[in-house]
Amino acid sequence: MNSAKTNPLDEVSRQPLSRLRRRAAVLAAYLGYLSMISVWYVASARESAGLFILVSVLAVVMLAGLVLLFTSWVWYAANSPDPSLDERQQRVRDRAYLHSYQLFAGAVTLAGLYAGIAWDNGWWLPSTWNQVQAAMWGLLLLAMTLPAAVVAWTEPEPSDDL
Amino acid sequence: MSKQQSKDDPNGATGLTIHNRLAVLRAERGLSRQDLADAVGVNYQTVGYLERGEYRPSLELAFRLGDYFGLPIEAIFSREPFKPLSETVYHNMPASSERSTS
Repeated sequence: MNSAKTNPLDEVSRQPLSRLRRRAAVLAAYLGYLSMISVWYVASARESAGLFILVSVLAVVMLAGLVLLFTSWVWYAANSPDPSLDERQQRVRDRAYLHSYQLFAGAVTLAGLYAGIAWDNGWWLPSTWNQVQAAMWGLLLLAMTLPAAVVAWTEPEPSDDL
Repeated sequence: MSKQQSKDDPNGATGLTIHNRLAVLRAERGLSRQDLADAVGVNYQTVGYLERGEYRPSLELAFRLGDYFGLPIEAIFSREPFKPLSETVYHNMPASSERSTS
């Protein structure tokens, strides 16, 4: 039997984030990364100092979102082993991993389809080492954070009543 | 009395609607959610999900709740909506005591 007294989620779950803040953190992390590498791509081509400053700002936005996810109960809820979770929390975590796998597999499949079509039609594809790295880091970001993002996005508003 | 409905989410289950008396039983005993959670080994938020009917417990957790309250599972969980306890008690009272209380 899991004991709530030894459950590390108990302490962090007493300061739960609202759903709005959780979703804002997810959007900040993912949209922050996408817009950061997009602006960085343009900034590299134009060698614009102003755009590089914007890249820095977007990096801070992305990091703020990630820090909020990493330091809240969402991260523990999505990544803790069975003995640290009760049966409902285990179900939430397992469902989050299922949805994450579906989303990740879908994203990789779409990326592969795009690459095949782009190759045939001469559309844009990552062509420099930096661009390939940006895509790889994006996939790594997704793989590492999707379960927590799914929990953050889907869990209902917390109850304050102890 | 809360009920548990089928949903395609981690807190739901399939098909059956299950009602429960957890909130009433906890209130009768003057317990906080944290007290009950500690007693049956779950997070206090899980007690809230149970009471609101947003999570259906495993059979093991249902037995632990039954053991803790000293009641059979069917006194805590039911497929039919529970009548209010006051109504149940009143209708089960002998006629004499019913008169004396009126």
